[in-house]
Amino acid sequence: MHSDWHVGSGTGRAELDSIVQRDADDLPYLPAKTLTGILRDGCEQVAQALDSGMTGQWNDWLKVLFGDQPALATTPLEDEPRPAIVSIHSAHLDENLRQSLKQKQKLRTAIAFMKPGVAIDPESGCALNKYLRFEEMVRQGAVLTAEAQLDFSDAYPDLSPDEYLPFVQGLLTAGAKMVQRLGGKRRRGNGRCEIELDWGQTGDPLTWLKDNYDQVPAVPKLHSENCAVSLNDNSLNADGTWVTVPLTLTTQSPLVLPARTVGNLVECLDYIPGRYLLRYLHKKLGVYVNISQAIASNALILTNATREIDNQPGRPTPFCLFGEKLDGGLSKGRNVYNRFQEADPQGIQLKGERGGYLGPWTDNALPAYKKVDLALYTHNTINDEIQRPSAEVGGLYSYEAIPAGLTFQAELRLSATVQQKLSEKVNNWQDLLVGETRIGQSKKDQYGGVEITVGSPANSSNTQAGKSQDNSSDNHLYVWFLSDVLMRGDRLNPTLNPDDFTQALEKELGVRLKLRETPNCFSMMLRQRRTESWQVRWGLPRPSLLGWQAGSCLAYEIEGNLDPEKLQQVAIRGIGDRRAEGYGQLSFNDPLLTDKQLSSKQRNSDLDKSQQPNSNVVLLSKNSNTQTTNKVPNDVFKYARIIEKAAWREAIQTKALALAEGPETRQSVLGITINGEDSCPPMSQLGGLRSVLGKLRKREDPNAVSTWINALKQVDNRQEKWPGKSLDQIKQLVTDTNQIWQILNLDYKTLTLTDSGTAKLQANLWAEAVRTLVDAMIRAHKRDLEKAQTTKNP
Amino acid sequence: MTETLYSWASRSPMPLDQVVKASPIQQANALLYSPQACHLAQVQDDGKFCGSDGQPLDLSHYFEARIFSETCELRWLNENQGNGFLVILADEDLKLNSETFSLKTTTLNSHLNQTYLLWGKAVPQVKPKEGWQRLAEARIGKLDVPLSQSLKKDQRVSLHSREYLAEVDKFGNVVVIEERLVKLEV
Repeated sequence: MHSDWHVGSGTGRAELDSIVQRDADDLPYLPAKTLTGILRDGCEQVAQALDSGMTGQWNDWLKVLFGDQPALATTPLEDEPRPAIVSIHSAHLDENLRQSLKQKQKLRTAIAFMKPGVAIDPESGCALNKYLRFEEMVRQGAVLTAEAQLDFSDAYPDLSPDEYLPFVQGLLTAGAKMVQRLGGKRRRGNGRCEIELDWGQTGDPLTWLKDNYDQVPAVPKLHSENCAVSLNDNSLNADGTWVTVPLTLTTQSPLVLPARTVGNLVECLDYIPGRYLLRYLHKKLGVYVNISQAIASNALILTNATREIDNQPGRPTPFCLFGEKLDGGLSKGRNVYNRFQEADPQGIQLKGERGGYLGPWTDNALPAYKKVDLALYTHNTINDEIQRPSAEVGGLYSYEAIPAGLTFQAELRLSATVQQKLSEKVNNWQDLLVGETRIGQSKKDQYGGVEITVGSPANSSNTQAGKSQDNSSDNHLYVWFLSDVLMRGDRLNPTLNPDDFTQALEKELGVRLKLRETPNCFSMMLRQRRTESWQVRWGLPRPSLLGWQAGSCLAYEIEGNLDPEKLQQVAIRGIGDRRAEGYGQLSFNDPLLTDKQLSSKQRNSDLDKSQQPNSNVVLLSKNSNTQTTNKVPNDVFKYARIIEKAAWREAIQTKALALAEGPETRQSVLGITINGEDSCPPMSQLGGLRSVLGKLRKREDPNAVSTWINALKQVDNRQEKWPGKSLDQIKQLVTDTNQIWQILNLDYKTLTLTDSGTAKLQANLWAEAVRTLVDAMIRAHKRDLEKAQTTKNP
Repeated sequence: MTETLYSWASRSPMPLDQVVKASPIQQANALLYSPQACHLAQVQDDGKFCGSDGQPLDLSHYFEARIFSETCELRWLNENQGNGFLVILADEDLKLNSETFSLKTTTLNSHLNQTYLLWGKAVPQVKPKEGWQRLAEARIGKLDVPLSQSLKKDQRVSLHSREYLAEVDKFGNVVVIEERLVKLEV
């Protein structure tokens, strides 16, 4: 970035009207959507130049690279929109710099500054009233790097890379050259930048383009994916034994998993539904076993990934839990009532627990509780004509997202037949699942990066699903919905009638179930939820899915003999529709639901101690990698120095102002005092000092202040005006280069990023620090003097 | 005034290609769901499902179907290897064979007629097969719709349905308990 830049978040904070967007580490970055948009704009200019107009093969290639823009279409189009094959992710600061900045709040703040602005009345040429504003700006000189992919294999698998790649590289490199500014206020001097594309060892794409631009290949046809599955095939059956593979998902970038769209806000789920990973499963295991077939035969289940708690998937808070409204609840870790077992405590107001996830049951204590705090990101679509966001092309819109850096857990469950088929082909087939993928909305750019790791496969009885049903408690059956449950009624309609669920469960378990009747306690806590979603392969929305919400729970009385084996089967296979996608997961007789004294239990508070910040501070170096330093490229080092310097300046100012407030400090540093209504020395002398201090520039320069003091001492009349040894004190301050730093006593550890930073900045900022301190002290002195004079002569 | 909703469920599961033969439905359209696509299809008199190219569809991929005409709606859902129960909904007694179907009647308060607008506008330059019209929209591409009426440029097609209202508890609360697809219309 060659000038200060501002990629706004769409919001303000305190005195700032518009703040810059910051990433999970609280550092400014270039959002992928901004980068992609600006690069597309550059490429559009190149394509129009190469085609000499708005249409032609280069314009068509542009649509292949960046995808169609259906929102801009003016007529109905029969061809479905092409997906983009260029995928650009967000650009962040250098990793070493980020790591160093992570630990230092003051430096993170110093990376940006506040810039005032005002609107000018075009008629009068004066500033408009009430138009003063403050915008946050990131300092110039930043080098940001983004990963990008160019992947033809999904949409155009038949293309040969040799034929198209040089043209694509040429177009993108030329497009990148066209980009000169980005972000907000880019027509006012901000955001001047240069984009470099690193293609490895392929020669200069621009030279190649210059010689070959008139031989552009034909635009490829979009390949339609074929995943035909026959329902009549029964080679993969779901028999008794199941194998479970625990999957751990770590979010690498924010995830947008739409729950519903309200106006221009896309709301996000707080878990990762199993359906989002089915595509990944097809890619990884589809070569060895027919995944579609396994799903159609209910022989494969991918549970929803929920927030990891104590190395286990978090379980949605059951609705039978109530917390004391004023001083309790799961978030506080005390006074939680299990209303399936405990009566309403008279006189205490209770509030139902909703949302959040619970860890595994720990005896005599409340289980751990975590929530996902969703982040909010605002974007806009720029109308090319007016170069501003406008409602016609989409305007402003916001995405709620699961933040980067969180860990989720899910389970892949396979029936023995599927597992056997896989094992025959590959020995350690579960290792194939390790990798990275992108899921959810806007996954081609800013959102959706997920890293997947695999635990060791377990037999079904050892897993969460297998454990819970062991203790059949006094002929009662407690059911807890671990995910949404979708059922069909007798007209094949989505049902929300609890009786339909009971009947289905009775059929599975082979017993009669009657809703428990207990005085003062609940036996049924059900909520319904409607899921709307878009079917990517259909290119259409899919019918609303209507069912019971995860966290619903029921208590039954059993009539007949319950076979634990059957109970375990239901716990693993689930119930109802779309079980392969994570719906229909149940837990039976969980100790949390059967606990009779939950309200007397508290949570052990030592759970979050592991999140202590790393105290091992590493500095950035230009030259060497050691235990305490990390070598970084020259431009990163330079930028680190810019941030450091800004932070130092800020710290010097703050400290100087604080020191100047005290009359004793002023006397000990400069020797100046207030005597009655008089200043010692008089203000005229102090004015002389300020003026001569203004010439102080460098530590090494011949010291103008010393010369001034020496000259002053020659004239008795003037020397007398300076009390005691004040002149010597000032001389000491401007000649002893260490003294100012001793007086200021800054916290260098929190302000320094680079290995030689402290020494270099002390040298560079010495004169400025002296000026700032003396100036602040004289101002404070004058203020106090004026106060003294007013008190005496009101 | 009270109304009655008649619903029949087949006593045994059957594959999708038999559901039309097992029912009295004629001149119907169908919504067919497969993992790969969601199709609208035309049901011919011989019980065959035809796509917009006029060719019979391979029914082994579809896991759910809703076949509808103005008199009744047929629902079918794959339960096990391509077999599923058939449910028929109608406003009047169709006098179906009680050996094949079990009848259930529900007392209604009334019904509401609803209309859904389909994605896309008519594209006039394309001449599709007899009995089909083509709609298009930049966001989704083309959508072929079985409709004998002709469409003018930019005209839209709507899907008519009927919502049935009934009391669900002893307190007199009335909700929509069922919805039946009726017809496609300009």
